Amino acid sequence: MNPQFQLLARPADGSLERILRTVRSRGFEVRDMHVRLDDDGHRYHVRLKVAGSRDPSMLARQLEKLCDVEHLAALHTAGAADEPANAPRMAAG
Amino acid sequence: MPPSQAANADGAQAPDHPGTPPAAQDDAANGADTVIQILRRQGVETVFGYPGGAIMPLYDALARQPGALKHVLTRHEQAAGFAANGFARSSGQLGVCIATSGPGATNLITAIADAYMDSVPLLVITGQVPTGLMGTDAFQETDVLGLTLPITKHSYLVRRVEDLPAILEEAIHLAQEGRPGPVWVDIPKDVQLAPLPAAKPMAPGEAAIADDVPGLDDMGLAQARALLAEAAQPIIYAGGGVVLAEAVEAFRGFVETTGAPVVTTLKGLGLLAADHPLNMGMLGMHGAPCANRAVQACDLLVVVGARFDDRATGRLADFAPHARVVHLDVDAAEVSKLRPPQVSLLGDLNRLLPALATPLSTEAWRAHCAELRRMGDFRLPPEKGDAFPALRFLRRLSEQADAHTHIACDVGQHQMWVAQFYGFPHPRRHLTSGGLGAMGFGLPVAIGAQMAHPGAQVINISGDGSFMMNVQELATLRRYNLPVKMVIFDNQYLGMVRQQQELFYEGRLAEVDLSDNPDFVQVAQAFGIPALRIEGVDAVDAAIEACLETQGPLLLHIPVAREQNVWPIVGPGMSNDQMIEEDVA
Ligand SMILES: Cc1cc2nc3c(=O)[nH]c(=O)nc-3n(C[C@H](O)[C@H](O)[C@H](O)COP(=O)(O)OP(=O)(O)OC[C@H]3O[C@@H](n4cnc5c(N)ncnc54)[C@H](O)[C@@H]3O)c2cc1C
Ligand SMILES: Cc1ncc(C[n+]2csc(CCOP(=O)(O)OP(=O)(O)O)c2C)c(N)n1
Ligand SMILES: [Mg+2]
Repeated sequence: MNPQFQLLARPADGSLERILRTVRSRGFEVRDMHVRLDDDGHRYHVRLKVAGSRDPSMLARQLEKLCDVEHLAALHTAGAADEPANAPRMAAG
Repeated sequence: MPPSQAANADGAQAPDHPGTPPAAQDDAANGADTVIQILRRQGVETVFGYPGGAIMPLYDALARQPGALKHVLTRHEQAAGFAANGFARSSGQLGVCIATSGPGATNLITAIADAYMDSVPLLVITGQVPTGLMGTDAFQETDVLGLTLPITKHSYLVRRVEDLPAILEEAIHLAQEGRPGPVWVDIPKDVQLAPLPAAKPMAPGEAAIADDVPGLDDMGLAQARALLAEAAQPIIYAGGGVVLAEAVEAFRGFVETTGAPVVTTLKGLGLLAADHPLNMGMLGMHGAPCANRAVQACDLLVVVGARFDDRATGRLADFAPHARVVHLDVDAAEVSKLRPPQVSLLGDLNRLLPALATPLSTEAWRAHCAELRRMGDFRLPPEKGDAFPALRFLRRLSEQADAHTHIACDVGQHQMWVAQFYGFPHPRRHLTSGGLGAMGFGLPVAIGAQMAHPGAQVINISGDGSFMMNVQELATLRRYNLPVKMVIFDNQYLGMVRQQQELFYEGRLAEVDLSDNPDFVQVAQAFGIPALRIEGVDAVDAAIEACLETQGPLLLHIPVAREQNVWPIVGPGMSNDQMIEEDVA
């Protein structure tokens, strides 16, 4: 399944490029992308579908870290949507 | 003089830029004045830079406000970037560098990439061509924002002078907040020249931008404590993040309370005294055998401000194969990036470490680690031939230099020998290019460190290859009469590459011979810097005395054995179990 993300981003110089270069350099490629600027011009709404063999939550954390990205929701795995990237995880064993 | 009449710094008449507003009147502030005012207000006193056409308004503002900032003119923009980098690394304060558009900005790139990899707080200011010319392939136009996206924490292009104050304040904050890093502000020439009311003085605290530091995570802490209590063979794997968090004391307290043995990365050297009984030393490719063995055997890895770099872990799949992992960091993106932890704790190490500290009863493991250390710490190898014993020199220097001595180094074998044999009392005394591994780092970084600590001893240990990459900075040293000591270990080779060709490319040496090096003593003297050549197996005392007793700058040219290797070494892509150690038989 191709991981999908929804992002809200500040429309600053380079903000879309930062998102795209993060996707590329972290080992993913864009399969689908929709961008819309708010009517008041304050926010980009970005929907992104990517493909890649690496862990999509790694990409989510890298995208969330971008200064322009105000919110990110991951839609790729059941149960993972909206999980904040910094939640402590306790794995079995 | 309006810009249209001024000759630019490249000797040509400045183009008549459409849309360029006239320079502000002397008594009115413009964008450039505002930059200086804001830097001053943020406590910046020293900046490193190099002028040129598109940044001339800022230099003009410096000239009109003499004494507002101390500007250090280097002889190459890369060196300005590295000097700001050394200033910041050694002091923990913001480093600031300035350059012009085009070649000025591109020359900065290596130093800023270095700061990004090693999380160094820098503010980088470049001039850009006037907004009306942007996007026309104008003279000295490069897309600086585009170039800098991958090597900065953030970068800005200031399109309107009204935005400049807020952008600068935000940039300065961002560079230092959380995980520090370089932030780049590109300012078109017309924005620098545009009038702007003088920045009004701020009420105390008004400029403070709130940090988004998470509170203590009680559930995560309880889970981490449970893992600590269950562990029979815990190891603390600590790195540069402890220093960046200014949490060295909290870290030392954590170690004493838990009694867990510690390995550090290259960036964590000095977190514990080298002779501390729990200090197993540096892990990784050129790490101490005992450090790598302890990590491979441990059942719990408490990772504190470290990022599983491949030089530290070797082949990741084989790294600490029996360990559960508790990862403490400030950057959520570092957690699970390479090794998923059982528990991650994000936030301020000064709060997390005391909250996690609990005495552990792991006496048998501690005794085992002590034995590992007895068998596999860095050893001074037997003397070879009659060459100067560089490793003994470093060990002795660290015993005799005072605790405030800063050691910068370049990149190569000599860098690893510094890491292995100099016992750092504090990580900020060790200035090394870890993540980028950029040759040419040492001399300009030492200059920056000396500027930050005028009374301290600053010594740069360089290789003959690396030194040549920023040799022009001897002129900066002379100009400011900085008492930096420069030691060149001259093996007439790109030694680290030669070593890998010898070990991993069947001994085929390709383009590593530097036997035609210049006479380094004469080079230094040509810049007006005293220099000595020190040779031979018995010259350690003379070299140490020259370093520690000489007033003013000094270059020591030290020929060393040509084919000495760094041991141990884990081959690229190999597991840390597969250390190759020197065959001393
Ligand atoms: C020739 C050469 C050989 C090398 N050999 C080795 C080797 O043998 N062994 C070795 O270890 N290294 C070696 N290195 C260095 C290596 O490349 C890495 O730079 C180094 O291992 C990274 O150290 P670190 O994990 O401490 O990370 P750093 O780069 O120091 O990263 C700091 C970590 O701390 C976190 N952090 C930042 N700020 C804070 C804060 N305020 N609070 C909490 N956390 C924070 C960051 O998010 C990051 O995870 C070598 C380098 C060169 C050039
Ligand atoms: C700017 C740059 N170019 C190339 C390299 C690759 N490299 C790593 S170490 C090294 C040799 C360094 O030679 P020298 O400074 O003489 O140090 P030595 O290893 O001989 O001690 C080279 C070429 C690098 N790290 N940085
Ligand atoms: Mg060399």
